[in-house]
Amino acid sequence: MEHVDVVCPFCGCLCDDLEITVEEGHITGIKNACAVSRSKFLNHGSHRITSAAVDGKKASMKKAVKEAVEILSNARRPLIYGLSSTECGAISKAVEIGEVTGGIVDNTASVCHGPTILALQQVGESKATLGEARNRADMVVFWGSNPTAAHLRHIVRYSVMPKGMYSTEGRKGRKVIVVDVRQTGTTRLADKFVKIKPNSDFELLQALRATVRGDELPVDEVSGVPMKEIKELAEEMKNCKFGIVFFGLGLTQSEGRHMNIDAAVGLVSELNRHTKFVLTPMRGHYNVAGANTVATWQTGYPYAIDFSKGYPRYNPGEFTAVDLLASGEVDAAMIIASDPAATFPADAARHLAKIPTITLEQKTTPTTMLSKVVLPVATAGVEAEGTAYRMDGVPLRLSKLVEPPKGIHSDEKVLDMILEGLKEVAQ
Amino acid sequence: MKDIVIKGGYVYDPLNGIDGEKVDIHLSDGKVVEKTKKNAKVIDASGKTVMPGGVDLHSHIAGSKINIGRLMRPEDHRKDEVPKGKYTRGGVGYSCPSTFVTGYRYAQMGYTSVMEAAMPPLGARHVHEELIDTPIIDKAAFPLFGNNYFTLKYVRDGDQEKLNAFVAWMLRATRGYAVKIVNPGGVENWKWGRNVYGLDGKVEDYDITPRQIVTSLAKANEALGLPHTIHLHCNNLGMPGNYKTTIETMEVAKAIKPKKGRKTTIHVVHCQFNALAGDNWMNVKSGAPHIAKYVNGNDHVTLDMGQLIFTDTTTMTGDGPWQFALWNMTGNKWVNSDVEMEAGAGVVPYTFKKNNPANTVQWGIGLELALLIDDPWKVYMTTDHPNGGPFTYYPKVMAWLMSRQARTDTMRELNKAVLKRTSLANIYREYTFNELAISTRAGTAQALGLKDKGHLGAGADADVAIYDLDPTGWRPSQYKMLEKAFASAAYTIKGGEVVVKDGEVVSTPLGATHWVDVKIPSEVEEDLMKDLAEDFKKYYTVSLRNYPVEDEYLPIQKVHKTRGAWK
Amino acid sequence: MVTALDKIEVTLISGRTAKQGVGLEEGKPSESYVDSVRLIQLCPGDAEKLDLKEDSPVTVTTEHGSVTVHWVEEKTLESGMIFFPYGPWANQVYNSVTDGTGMPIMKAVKATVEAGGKVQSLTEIVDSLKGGS
Repeated sequence: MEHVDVVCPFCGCLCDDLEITVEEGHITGIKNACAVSRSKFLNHGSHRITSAAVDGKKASMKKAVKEAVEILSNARRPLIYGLSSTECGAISKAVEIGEVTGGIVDNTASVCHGPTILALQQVGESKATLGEARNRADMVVFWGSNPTAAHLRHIVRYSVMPKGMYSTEGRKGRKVIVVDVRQTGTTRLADKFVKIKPNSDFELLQALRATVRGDELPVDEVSGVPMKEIKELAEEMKNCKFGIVFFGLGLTQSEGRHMNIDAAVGLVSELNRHTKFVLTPMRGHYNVAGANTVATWQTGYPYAIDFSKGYPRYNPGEFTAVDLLASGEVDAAMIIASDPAATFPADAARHLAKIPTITLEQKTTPTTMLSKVVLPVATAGVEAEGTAYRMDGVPLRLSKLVEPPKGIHSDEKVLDMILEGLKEVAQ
Repeated sequence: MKDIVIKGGYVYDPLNGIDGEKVDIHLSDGKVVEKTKKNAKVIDASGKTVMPGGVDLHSHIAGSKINIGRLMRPEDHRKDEVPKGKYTRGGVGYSCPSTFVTGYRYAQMGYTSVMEAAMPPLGARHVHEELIDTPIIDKAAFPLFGNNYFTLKYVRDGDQEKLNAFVAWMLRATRGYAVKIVNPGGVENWKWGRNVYGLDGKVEDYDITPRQIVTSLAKANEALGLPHTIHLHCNNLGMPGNYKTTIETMEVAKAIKPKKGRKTTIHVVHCQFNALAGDNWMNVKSGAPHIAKYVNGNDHVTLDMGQLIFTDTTTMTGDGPWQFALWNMTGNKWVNSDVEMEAGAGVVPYTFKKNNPANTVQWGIGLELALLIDDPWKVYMTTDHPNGGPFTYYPKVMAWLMSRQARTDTMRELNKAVLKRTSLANIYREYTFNELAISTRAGTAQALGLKDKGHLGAGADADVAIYDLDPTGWRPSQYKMLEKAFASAAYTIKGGEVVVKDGEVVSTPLGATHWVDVKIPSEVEEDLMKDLAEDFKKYYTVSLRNYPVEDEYLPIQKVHKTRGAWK
Repeated sequence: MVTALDKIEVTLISGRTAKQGVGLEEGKPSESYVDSVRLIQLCPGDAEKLDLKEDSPVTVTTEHGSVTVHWVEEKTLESGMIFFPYGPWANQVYNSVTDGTGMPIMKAVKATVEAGGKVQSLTEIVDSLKGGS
């Protein structure tokens, strides 16, 4: 069977034009996909965890769920973390489990674009959906982002190559500027590569902003960039018809963090006094935007949410996973659709091995390797349907193309089993 | 579910001509019935006020815009933290309440139906996902049409037929209920950082005018026989002198022939923001008397107040350029959010202050509109939540409408501009309970064309509010008592189930989402789909196949079918 | 003839690579994933300074930790900068302090690189996490 216009559940691009062939319940062909997407669809069945496990020993799903319920209901301060590579129904259940247990719910935004959200809460953000870039942008700036490694079809589908309503010439009609500390695949296709010193994005953003405002800076260079070049860049930005900045973890994970984004937002806002300018974070995991979105409508807060007082409280830096683990504050953890043992500084990851950790996963990961309870789950967007939010906030429907392995349920279903168990215990 | 009889209350059911009489209301199987069986549960409403459940026809409760508001304002949430309860989820309140809290708080005020007034079509799934998490109340959402590429294209091409088909298709694709228009043409120009000024301004890339957009969409609306009129946020919102644009826009709709059985062709939303006279924010004054005069002389217009509340709130509209202007005026944090091919939005926190002359004038204008327009069926109570203020302030607005003393007491605390630049101090009118019921449920239900809502006749939905207030003994000087009673219903009954008792939520069923399904002949639809397919491929970043909202997003739906424009 | 240096000071940048993305979708224990993240990239000049042999490992050390991995040449990198793909090996050298933001610093970190050391397997890395040392 041929499926067309399938949504890809890998990165924040959520490309929705995949063509997938399913034969006898297996995916046998895929078109239009990038290398990673191809790998995801074709390998979703390999290296699978086939059975639930408790303490490294195979267990029935029922027993493993019971164990999970026991751990969570006995915990004084459980952490529920992950949620960026699953669909919104699962996210919704995870938030409710956080509420029922009086625990903490955090998602992977805390280690990717959390600082972007902090900046938005401080100064706002001028943004647009990706189609605006496709149809109108004549200037595209990649700042601390490298789609050739992380968002493989972004350039072709959305930002640089495509022809659109007013961008009738495609690539030719766009000026592409890349700001980075090193050469990347993206810098190679730029019209202008602005190479800056590491940890100096904030200074350059502020210098540009000041220059756009018409302020003269009495210096020869900023962040390794000559003032003359900064002035030229500012002029180009002011004089484009529609500019867009796609920024990545180069800004959020280096010194300054949220203040870098604050400066980028300030620059873009300032440019709106001259022309149209927007910015969009390059969200990594395909539904990390959804994790923030669902948590926000349900609790008011996008991540770092503590329910210990019965109502949601928000404090990044305190209720964020890395901090909670590094300080040893949490006494149990449930990890959904994420691999903190492979993505957190070792100091923080280490605590996961010390406390009872429950992990919902499809495949063996460093996190499942140190978990007390492992619950195998279906792959959302391949074996289970649901909603995901694209990096620009556009919601799309993920499909179920094939059945999950026998006895394996979706994240949502497994979380619901745990939630029901917790509610029973509470009564 | 057990039948219910509400006995002995003073009933206000304006659509059925019941004005404070003691009538028993019988509820069975989710509906109002003539008579229930013997074993019905009896609710003693003696000495209390009984009304149909409240119907809010313009609020922002679900979707990307309100969620941006929630996201950007942790400081707002911290003023109003809501713990989880026995039957309820925790969350936050104030100007951008979480979805669960939104449902609870409307129900606690006796409201049972609320309209989300601006749905960007590309984000329709998001709206519906949030509506699923908004408990108790019935809901509907209005897709944005006024700056949609296809609207502009068909208006440019003078192809009314295609536009009709497109409106019908879009309502189905987004599961929308009414045609929402925000600053027609202005948001399209904003995509290049500009705006359009007035009805005859130029929508740049299409060489058309807002006047043409409004006319064409109103024609489509009536030709399709949609239950509600066009729902219009006029051009020039927030610009002193804009009352003229508002009246001109109303005049445009006068030329449109309404659908059979309805006199109106336009609903002007949050009119307060569009009823400003003067030349600038320094000398702004009320244009409400002009608008009231026009509305009193014409029967094709309804409007809602968009009443301002003196508090810190979060403004959010589909009017991108206006929010940009507000950012420039205030320097507050600003989110702009443009949606390809369709719409835009902006969010800026704002504090309405008692010592700000312009704000006091705006406060006066909202009330002037409600009090100077003679016929309560033409003007409805809203705060354009959360733009004028959070919906939880409705009881305060009710008090201002029903008590001149409440207004005077407030005016004493205000900058004197309200006395000099509005006529409010000279208005003695006070709403009756019957008029209040019209303004908050009967009139809004009628305007929306929700035939089973806003009244308590047999066949109506069993949505009822009972307030602990004896209307026969109440005097306007006791307005605080009224505020208290309407803030916290003695009972709210939704679909025949008691959901609120003594102001507390006791049950949280999921309400229905209403949408309009217009019949489109297959050949007309095929023709349209060819157009859509071609342009989607060229300009959208999602495929046409992935665009329409699936049934999964409407676990309980109420479909309103219309016969459409085709015989 | 230049004498090989014992160690060089570098700025460590981490990030995604397409290979790592492909590998992780195959499975984290897979060779393709492990190979994609158990290495650093550095410029030929720096490799020469350290007199690195093609199959000899290097040890990356920061104020916070130390890890041994393979290395490859990347001509586009400037001298004094290394690139380390996100993953369990890179995590050994990052600080978990977030300065109240929730976000650890993973880019532009001061580090040193020297030849030698023993490369750990994924299991050994996970075991070291379990050991809690």
